[in-house]
Amino acid sequence: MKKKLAIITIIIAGSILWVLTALAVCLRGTQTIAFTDTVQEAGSGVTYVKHSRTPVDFLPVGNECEFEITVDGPDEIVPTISISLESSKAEPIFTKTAKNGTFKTGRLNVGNKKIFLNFDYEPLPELDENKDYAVRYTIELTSGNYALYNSIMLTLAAVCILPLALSIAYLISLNENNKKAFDERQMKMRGKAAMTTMIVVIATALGLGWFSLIYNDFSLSAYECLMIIAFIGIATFAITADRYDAYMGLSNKRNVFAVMFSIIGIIDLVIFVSTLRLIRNGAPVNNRIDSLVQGICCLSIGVEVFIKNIQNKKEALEDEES
Amino acid sequence: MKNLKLKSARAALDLSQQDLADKVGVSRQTINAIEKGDYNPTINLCIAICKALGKTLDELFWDQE
Repeated sequence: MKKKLAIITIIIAGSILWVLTALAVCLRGTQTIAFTDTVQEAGSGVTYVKHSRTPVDFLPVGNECEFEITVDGPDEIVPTISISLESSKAEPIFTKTAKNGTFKTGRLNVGNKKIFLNFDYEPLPELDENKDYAVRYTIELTSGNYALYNSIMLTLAAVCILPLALSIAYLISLNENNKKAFDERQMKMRGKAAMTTMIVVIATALGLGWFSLIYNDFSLSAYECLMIIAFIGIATFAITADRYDAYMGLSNKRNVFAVMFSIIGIIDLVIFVSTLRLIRNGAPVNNRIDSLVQGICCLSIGVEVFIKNIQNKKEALEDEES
Repeated sequence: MKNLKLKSARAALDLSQQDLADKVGVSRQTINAIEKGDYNPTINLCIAICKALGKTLDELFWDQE
């Protein structure tokens, strides 16, 4: 009874925590993005064309907001930054020709609409065709409307963490007291699964770190990197442990797990495909790489459990026949 | 190396792998792994299997070659 209550608490508290955190992040009071806009690539013969850039956009953040924009580029290039609502081609509500430095837009009335930032460089000065010209922008959007809402959401999320943590700790203590939790072979296989997972997680973390060093426009956030590492670790452990039958508890619910993980994987892959952007042009990359990796990992777990199901039935059949 | 003696002794008592696993207190996959030669059981597990099948250690686990 207590075990079931702990499991139910984990599911409910975990779900509430997930939903509230997602809501708070979507409606957070401050958002910051940074990106580099290429005006000319050396030797390419390609230079900036007005309105060819994909504009930067923000989801609705309430009735009022303020931008703080930092511009850092060659002195000869002076961008004109304009802010419009609902469409990048709409009449701008704010325009400024900005030299290098930081400036604030002041309070803007955005009427809870989608916000677009356009960056134009005309008139372009004479540029050396053998040089690269690029401008780096850091944009901070502040909205006061949802700050209180975010605080409440985050408080509620924190309240969910306590019952979640207590329930997990209780279940772990149950497992340690259970003398029949595993046999000697399973203990060896759990160690093998843990070793494999450790190696894969280290390789993934080092790989992402190396990639971030050599690739200038590495656009994955800390959250995305950590989620990629976490899910690859989870998938590696789950697949290795199930492959070598390291745990007994899964035996009676294999089909449920296979279907559940497959559905989660497919949903993640659909999210990735639906938010995929193929055109970059220096605009912030919003491709959900973490969704792609999560989807592949969950789908892999589902497929592996399904294949192991078939193998188990085949073994049981061979045992009966012999 | 496969343990065919174990398999024969189990079959002689009309026990499935799951039945023997339940008697000994391990998983079915462990019995399967022992019979296939994929896992070398500890002496304690060997003794438990021998007691469950009514055989000696030599009869089930000694390599005659």
